[in-house]
Amino acid sequence: MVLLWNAFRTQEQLKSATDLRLIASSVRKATAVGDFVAERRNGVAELAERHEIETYLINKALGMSPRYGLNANLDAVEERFRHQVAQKTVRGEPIYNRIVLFDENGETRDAVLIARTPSALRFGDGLALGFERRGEDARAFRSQVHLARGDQTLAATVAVNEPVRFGGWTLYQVNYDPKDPTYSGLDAVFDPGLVVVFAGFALIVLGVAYTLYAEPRLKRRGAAA
Amino acid sequence: MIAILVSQSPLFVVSQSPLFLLTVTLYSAAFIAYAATWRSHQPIVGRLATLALGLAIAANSGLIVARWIEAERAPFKSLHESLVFLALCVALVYLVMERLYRTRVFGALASLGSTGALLYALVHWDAEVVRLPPALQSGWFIPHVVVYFVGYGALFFATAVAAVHLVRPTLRLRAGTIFGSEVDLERVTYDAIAFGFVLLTIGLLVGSVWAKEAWGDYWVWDPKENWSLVSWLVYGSYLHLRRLKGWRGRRLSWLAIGGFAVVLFTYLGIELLPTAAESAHAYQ
Repeated sequence: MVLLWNAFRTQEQLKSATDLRLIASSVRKATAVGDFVAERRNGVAELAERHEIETYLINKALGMSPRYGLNANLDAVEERFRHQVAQKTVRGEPIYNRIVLFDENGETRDAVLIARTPSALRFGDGLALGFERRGEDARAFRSQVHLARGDQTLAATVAVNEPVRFGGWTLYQVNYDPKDPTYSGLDAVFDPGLVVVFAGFALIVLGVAYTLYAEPRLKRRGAAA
Repeated sequence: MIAILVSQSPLFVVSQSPLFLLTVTLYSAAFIAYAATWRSHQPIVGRLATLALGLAIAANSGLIVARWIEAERAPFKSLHESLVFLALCVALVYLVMERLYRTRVFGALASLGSTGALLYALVHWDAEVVRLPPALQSGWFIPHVVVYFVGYGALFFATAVAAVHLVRPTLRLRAGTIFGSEVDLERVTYDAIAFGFVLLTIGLLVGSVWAKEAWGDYWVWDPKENWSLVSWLVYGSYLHLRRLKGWRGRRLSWLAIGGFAVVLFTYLGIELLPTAAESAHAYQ
């Protein structure tokens, strides 16, 4: 049995409407920190008007291809974001972990986003997301694995609650280190008895229901007859 | 500083959510009306009590739906959310039992339970929506929690009946309370526990299937797992002692109440254990 895999762990932060509404609701509720939020909202407007972003959008609207110029524009935008991340701090702690530009389809240039924080703030209209710094929470832990066994190969993503099955083995994302995105803990489990155990579970439920409900009724019916 | 203090006081928090205030008020009204049925000869008192509880259930459901939309996930994650759901389960299970056994005797205890759960939820108010950690992002999350909480609702009901049985073994109550004839308290307790036990069994096994899916293990000795096994065993012993050893009467009622004490510890007491931080079930 030869089973090989190499993995790199990613704490992945994907763009979704959840993030945006999450912020919207915390803005509504966190009255005590209202000023802080308002200050960041100003930051949003300020960032959206930056000329790097404007140039990018104008060139994109003009139909410039990524190869000729648009990528250079994006580099400039990302540089601006890095600057913004470094600049915006509260008591020496950065507010944002990362600011990422999304196009109108929600795509980014990055295949993988590493963000240590769960929440995002929208900059401009569907343009970019800033990831708020908030503890060590992660939205998802995923490992990209390449499995090989003889001629069989499989490239897949293992995530918590989404194990990958290959050649009778199952790979689970069981461990991770929020502080180190290059570490991933995977379990490889060979468990051919799974069906038997689950059948046993079903039998337990049926047995308990039978003993407590069906049997007394059948007995009563028998006694009456 | 003052702003923060004000924003954390229960009164301020309630003023932010009129629906929560309404729900608590309706449960309290149901409690008063159900308590009045113990003394009243008027059938109208009982009907008013049921009406108040029905409205409270509607408001409570509204709270859950609103939270579900706001959080964009099932609102069973934080202690606050789970208490709001527990209040609903306790009231719903009771209302079904009220129809089933045609008695309103236990309504006061049920509405008191729901009111208590909501008041506890008020103390543990969530300022912000917490994201589901990766381990809880699963299709098993909703069935696992719903099955357990309906089971807890049934066991709460069983406990209320057992408590009434201890105080007053034979019940002869007034017109406002009982629709039908006399109630066999021990029988009602047993039925509710049997129902709760089936749900505990399913919840435990669903949790085990989920653990297998998430971590590759059926059982990971999480403190909540261990204590839910203990409560399953206690109620299992209740059923066995009744059936095989012929236990009846006060000691069986005490066992029913003891079982619920274990359930309460499983639900709320786990946080006190030193191992709580490692639990996937810990409330924040």
